[in-house]
Amino acid sequence: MIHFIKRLAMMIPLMLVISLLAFALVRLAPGGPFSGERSFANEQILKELEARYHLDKPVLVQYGYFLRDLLRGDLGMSMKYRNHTVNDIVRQGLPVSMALGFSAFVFAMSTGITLGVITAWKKGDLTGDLLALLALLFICVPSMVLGPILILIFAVYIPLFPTSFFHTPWHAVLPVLTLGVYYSGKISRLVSEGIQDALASDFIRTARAKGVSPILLLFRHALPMGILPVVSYSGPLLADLLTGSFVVENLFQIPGLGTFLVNSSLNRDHTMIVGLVLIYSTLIIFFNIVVDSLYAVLDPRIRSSR
Amino acid sequence: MSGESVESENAGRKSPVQGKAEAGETLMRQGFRRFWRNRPARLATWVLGVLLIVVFFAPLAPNYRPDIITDRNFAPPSMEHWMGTDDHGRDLWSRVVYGTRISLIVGLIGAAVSFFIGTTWGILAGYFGGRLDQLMMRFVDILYSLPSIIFVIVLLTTMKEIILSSPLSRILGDNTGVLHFFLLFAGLGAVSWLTLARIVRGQVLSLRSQPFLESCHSLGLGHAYIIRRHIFPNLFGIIITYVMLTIPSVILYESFLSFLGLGIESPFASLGSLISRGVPQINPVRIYWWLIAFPALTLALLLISLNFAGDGLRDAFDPKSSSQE
Repeated sequence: MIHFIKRLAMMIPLMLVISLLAFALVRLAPGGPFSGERSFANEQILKELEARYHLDKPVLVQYGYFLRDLLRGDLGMSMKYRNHTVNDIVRQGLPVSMALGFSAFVFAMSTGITLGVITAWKKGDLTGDLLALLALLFICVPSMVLGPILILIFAVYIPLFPTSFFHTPWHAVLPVLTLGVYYSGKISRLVSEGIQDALASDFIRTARAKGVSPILLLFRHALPMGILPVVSYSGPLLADLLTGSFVVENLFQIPGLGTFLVNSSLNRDHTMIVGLVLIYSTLIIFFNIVVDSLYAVLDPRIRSSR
Repeated sequence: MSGESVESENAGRKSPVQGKAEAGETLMRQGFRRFWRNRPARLATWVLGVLLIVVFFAPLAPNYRPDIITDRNFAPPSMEHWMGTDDHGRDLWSRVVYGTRISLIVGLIGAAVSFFIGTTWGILAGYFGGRLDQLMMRFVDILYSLPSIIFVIVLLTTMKEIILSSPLSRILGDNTGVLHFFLLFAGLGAVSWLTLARIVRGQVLSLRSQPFLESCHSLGLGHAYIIRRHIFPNLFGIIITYVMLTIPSVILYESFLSFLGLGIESPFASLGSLISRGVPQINPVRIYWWLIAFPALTLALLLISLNFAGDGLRDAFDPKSSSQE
């Protein structure tokens, strides 16, 4: 627990570094956010716009303003979506992206682990080989290939599911499948590899010699060990699901944050880029810390070495 | 992929190379023999070979016209246009060949960039150890926890503008497409070296404690020489494996970016950008399925065979892999 809190506290300097990096990278690019627009009739308007976002001051001073606002939980005004604050957009988009990401997470975990256990159990069998092949196929078909195929089959030829937006669970089926299948395959491979490693180890042989039944052997002894790699993978997995949803959001016209991030980096919406990068990295680092701590709770070997 | 499991020890490695290049070769040859016995990997290698031959020789054929715009747009697959034509009446077969080429080049160069950074980083951290190791690996941890696709997006867009406004742009002239292309390589390579660095470091750590390295030190050999002649050859198998697995992941990354409109820009085309151009052509009114089916199938085939081959290499070379006897 103390370790967990310490790690959380370590996040603050890390976030500062990341925000400074993002800030510097964005501001270093020449041309302000307004220079690409139609020429202003009046030089004065441009000046005032720049003054409004403090663009007329040195970068470090701008960063100071940014930090001051950040302390109040304010990420500033968007420079392109006029009269929208970054907070507004995050408040609208983030829950949608998170809902998509978490549903896909649950889907990938449940199907992946089930698939992995069966694959490991049936190894050497035809079933096992076929399942292993299936998992590999899952990994090789990227979401922007799978998405259109699913739309073609389940929305156009057999009109079962709606193809766009995200307001009922029914709408979520295709996007979640599209996003989750890849990770389901990945998890399945991790689990089956982990269980096979566990099944080959000494304590399993001992248990078998004691006469533990095969089912109990699998679920009580091999599974807890085989699942550890999945636990340590679930931090990066959540991160990938959150950011990987860009493509799915694009395919199914889901109003998440992904579109905003892509657009803002294309049209130099400085406040938006920095704000979104900060939001995403905070979430991802936080998940990683939680997962690491969970790992320590689950794996007695790490717990004792601390 | 967790760091701690990699650095455990190299228990599976049967015969550590005694420092000679010839001995290293037999270890390599053993590995390749194991690889070739692996049926899926062998099949994947054949598929890759055929794909490479097609992709590199198709431009010689008379029906290779990726840039010719005709008025026969949205023609379905026929004898004349094997994969149909796209919205500008361009022959899709030629477009797909062209796109596969670009995707492969992106994958290869991205993997090469990640090879250089990852190997150097891992060897330096593992070999010198101590403070430096701590520092370098913390850095990797931090990068690991950053959303890499966001990193690439921001890097791509800002670097492009920085270069375009610098004196360099005068040399480039109008070739901003080329610039984007190279930034893409650099960006993709720059985010995909982390796993390799961790694995290489783990291997170097375990090599460092072996007697043959101690004897190298006592002979007074220089660090550069030891790394070049004794460390690197021992890592070669595992490095090939992970570089091989990096290729499909870079290709996948690039197609994600292209799909979002951030990757390859026209006049270039990759499999990802072809797919993204095909997606809007699927609608309830009219379905031009070939525009999405052929690029998508090609991409899937490419990724599947690269992954199979990479898996085969891992089984043959990675001492930690369970399927190696």
